[in-house]
Amino acid sequence: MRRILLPLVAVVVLGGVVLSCGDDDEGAVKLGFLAGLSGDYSEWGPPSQDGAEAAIGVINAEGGILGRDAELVVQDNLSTAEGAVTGYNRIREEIHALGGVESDGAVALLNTVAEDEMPTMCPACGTTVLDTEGGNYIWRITASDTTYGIISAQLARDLGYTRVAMLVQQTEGTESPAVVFKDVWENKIGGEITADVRFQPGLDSYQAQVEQAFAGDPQAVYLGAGPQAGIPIIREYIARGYDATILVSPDLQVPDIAEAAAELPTGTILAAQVTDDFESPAYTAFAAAHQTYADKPPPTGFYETNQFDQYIILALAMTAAESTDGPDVAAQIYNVTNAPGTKVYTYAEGVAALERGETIDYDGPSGSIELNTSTGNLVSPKVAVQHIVGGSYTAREGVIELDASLGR
Amino acid sequence: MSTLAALSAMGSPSFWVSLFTLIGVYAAVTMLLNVEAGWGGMWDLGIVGLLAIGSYTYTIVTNPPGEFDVDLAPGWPVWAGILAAMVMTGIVAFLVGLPALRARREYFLIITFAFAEVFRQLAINLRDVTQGTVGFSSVARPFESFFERDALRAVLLAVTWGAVLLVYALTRRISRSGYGRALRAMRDNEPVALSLGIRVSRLRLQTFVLVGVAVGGVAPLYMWWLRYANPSVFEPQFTFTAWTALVLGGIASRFGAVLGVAVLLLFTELIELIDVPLEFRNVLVAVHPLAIGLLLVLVLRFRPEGLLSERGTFGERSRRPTALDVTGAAVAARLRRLSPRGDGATR
Repeated sequence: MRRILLPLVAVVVLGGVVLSCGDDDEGAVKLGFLAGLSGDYSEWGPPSQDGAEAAIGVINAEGGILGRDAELVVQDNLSTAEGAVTGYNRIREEIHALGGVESDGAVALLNTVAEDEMPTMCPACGTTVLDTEGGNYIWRITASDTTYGIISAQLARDLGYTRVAMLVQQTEGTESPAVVFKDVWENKIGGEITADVRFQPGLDSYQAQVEQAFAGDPQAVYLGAGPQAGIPIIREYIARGYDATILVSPDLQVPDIAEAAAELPTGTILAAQVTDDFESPAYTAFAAAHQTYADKPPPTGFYETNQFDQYIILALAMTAAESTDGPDVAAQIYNVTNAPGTKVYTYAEGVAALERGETIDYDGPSGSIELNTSTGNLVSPKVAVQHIVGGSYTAREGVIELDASLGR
Repeated sequence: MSTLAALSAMGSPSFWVSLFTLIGVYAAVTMLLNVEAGWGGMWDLGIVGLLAIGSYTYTIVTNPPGEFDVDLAPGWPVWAGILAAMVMTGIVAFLVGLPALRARREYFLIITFAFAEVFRQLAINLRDVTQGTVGFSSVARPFESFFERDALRAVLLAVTWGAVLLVYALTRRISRSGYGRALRAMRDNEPVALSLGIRVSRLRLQTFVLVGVAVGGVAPLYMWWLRYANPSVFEPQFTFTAWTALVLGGIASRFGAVLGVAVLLLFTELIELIDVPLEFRNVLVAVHPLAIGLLLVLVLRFRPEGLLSERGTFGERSRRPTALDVTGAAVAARLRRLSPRGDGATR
């Protein structure tokens, strides 16, 4: 036994004290992409990766970062916190910055990336933990669950509803906006919650939960769930012939849900979703890049523009810092995203402006990227309404301005 | 050093430090699972529930007051947190064990699985104590003020493997003691064990509580590695991984749990480290569970008892049971000869 155990322990201990590899100044600038390619987030994985690869393609087409090629280092996090920690440790010594991170991974790595001085972008994190905890080495470039909760309550109010039921899956990503929704709906708007039904994913049937949620004859139901639970719930809703409006959480804004709800009248299912700036030159450039590097036009609703923007921001920050060292890059993030500065919409424009010695204010295909310098969150994420028509989500219509009086 | 060089070529040193820390945590838990399931015959499918109790207890009692919006944050030191985790998991194991241990085999399995899920639901819903689905985004770790970042990771690796050695020593002692022999006899044939004067109910409860206390001691190690306590961390996947490793390494083998965990997690990571073009990363991800399943099938096809066997551990291959031998295998062998149907059945 000792013959097995001792060498094993020796390898482990020696492994811990071996000096880490140094930064290779002549090699590629490596940008990590740590996301759920398998597991619960796998539906978002491939389109997210396409967005990230489009960004890397654009950066390299424009001469790379500081004259060096950019390289995407892809890691699956299995859509779990444990997978995120393992995946990060697998690549942390070879990468210069990290992107693609989702809520669970972001929270699990919150302290670690700060200790490692690893600039980290959260393109698809809603977690309320980041409402206050980011800003030094971790930035969120999408709307938070707090925003989604407020905007959904605001939408219900503006539609004239007073009685709403809640049907919410008990996972972090779905409960987080639901908690905010309930708080704002009851305490700020003064609306009535006719039922507050919580459930676990993976049930064989959701009949009892649907029955409870609709029993109080609500005008609308806030449905916070993942697609696996959302699809049977919507089928149950259709089978029972209910007519209350369903306000769905961000996790349900995927094609499978739209297909499941294809036979419902337009307007039955409403989604408040962070929207891209389709009219901006940045989106036009992004769409062309996506077609070139992913060989297809960009989808919508998969945070693909946010995935794209995160690497452009990191690359611009590295260019501005003339360095790929974490602290130098982190110090430049706000300088390349926030006003004042020359407004730029592409990586090429940004690099050119920086080379002219100007400060820049990058706005990407995901919209205005103005970050709160205390928390690292978007100052005013753009949210719009989506309907389901003929088995597909419509393009986002009518940007909703957040009612400041509903803020928490 | 050639081994190190080969490993370094496949991953950075800090990656291997992190991975072997995780292997250590899983190895300790799986060895404890082996005590109750492999030797005691108690098919526990809720060991992640005990781990969750220990993890939450440690995290809550060591949280500095005011850091999180919870009712309970006494800010105890790390050593007190570890003790609290052990005591709490011991108490919970006792309370769960009282009704659960009346059941056997698959019934016990279902009850323990349900217990783990019930605890996860409590962690979700007791928001004032656990922060619900948001959880705790930081965990108190020892030696933080003494070592810088990389050194601390290496120290925690050493501490984790120190704990693994302790658990191994404990299981080794159990396996060589009358207590261990009684466990295996109880597993193989409870009526005979009873007839030999073994107080089966008490032995089962003792073992369940002992494992609970020890898992409580391991839980802080997991929290130091993960640095995040959240209900989603304690889903059944942890239990399934431990069971898969146990089957792979050899149920009831003393060292099989460690070997099974090492093989399973290293194999998993080696697949991840395969350098493939970006467009094939998704394919690799899809192949991942298939490869693990294949590994399991191959091992069980050619080594049905796992990589190591109980017979190897207890040296039963080379000796015939004696009249006084009450080890599980010996009793079972004797029963098979005595039983009218030749299957050891008694009435």
